[in-house]
Amino acid sequence: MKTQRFLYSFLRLILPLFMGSIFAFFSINNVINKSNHKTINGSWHVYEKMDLSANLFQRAVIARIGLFALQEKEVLYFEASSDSEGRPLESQYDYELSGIDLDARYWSFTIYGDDFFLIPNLENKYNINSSNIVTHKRDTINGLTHYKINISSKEKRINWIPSGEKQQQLYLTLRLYNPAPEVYNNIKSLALPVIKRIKKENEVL
Amino acid sequence: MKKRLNTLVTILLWLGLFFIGYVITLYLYPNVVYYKATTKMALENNILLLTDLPNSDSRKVVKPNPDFLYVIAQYDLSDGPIQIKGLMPDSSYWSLALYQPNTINYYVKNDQQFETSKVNVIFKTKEETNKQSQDGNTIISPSTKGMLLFRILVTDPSVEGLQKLNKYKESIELNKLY
Repeated sequence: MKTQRFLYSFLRLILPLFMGSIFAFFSINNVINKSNHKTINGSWHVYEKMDLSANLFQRAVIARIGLFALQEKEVLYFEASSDSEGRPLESQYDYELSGIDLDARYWSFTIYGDDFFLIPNLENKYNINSSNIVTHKRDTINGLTHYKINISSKEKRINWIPSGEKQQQLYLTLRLYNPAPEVYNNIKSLALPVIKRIKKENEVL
Repeated sequence: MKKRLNTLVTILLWLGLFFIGYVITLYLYPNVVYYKATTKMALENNILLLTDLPNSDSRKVVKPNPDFLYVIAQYDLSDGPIQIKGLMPDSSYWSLALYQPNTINYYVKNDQQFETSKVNVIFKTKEETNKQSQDGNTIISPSTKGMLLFRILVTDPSVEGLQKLNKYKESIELNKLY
């Protein structure tokens, strides 16, 4: 009887601790597709401050989806998991990113699968960056360089990032290394590329 | 009345314990992820791991950047300071970043912030710093153990381009200071 009472009391204490722990895991995984605590710019969201010592929740989320990320003074990590109309990015669709040159020392667009690893493909291509991008046209009025990037499982002629054969959710990361000071001041209004889903043949949107 | 009070105390206790469970998990989660990553990489204390360009088979740390060569080490200062030396590229991006086991990036410095492409830095704990004088090349680690990560940007991924950068990568040394 005493043992039973002890076990009952013990469980009464352990159960809420355990439930709190489960809730923490759930919150970490659930926030990944959401823009909570982040700055939003179109389809893109970013942690403006990577002060992981002050924010336990942010630290846990970054450990889950971006272990060994750098401080925001070095790199800004913009994430997108949906297109410009808010639909999740999925590998069975083709996407076109259209934007203008970004003001950073080096930048890259990389896509990841639903496990947050690089997507296997025959070309071993995983991203487009400021060194290998083929620019589309230079605007003669304001001097801006325009580009288009194609995300597709089928080969494209230029600026192609393969999305692989497996059907899955896609996660797009834009890294800006050593961005210009103006970038930090205008994160919400920064001209980031629009992510357009390409209509499939016979598809009714 | 007494029964109501007991119920209220029980509910408050449960909520308190629920919150404690939540906070403890958030607090420990990054350390667990860090431990799992270092175990997967089979890192030994103060031994450098040189990696090739990440690809779809690189599945030890999430979201690798496929444009970087990485040099990684789990440093351990329990036996005293360590010294990192190496020659890095002088015309492209590279950086040295340091992390605590709770994944906080407490230090990062890139090629433009280093005065030279010859890296020569010493890692110490705060206690060691009190014993010895320190200069501009000394980095104080907030914890005895941590992770160091060199990132070298690859702008030319051809065989020749990689061979050139691999020489820099291989030049990095990690030694105990004394």
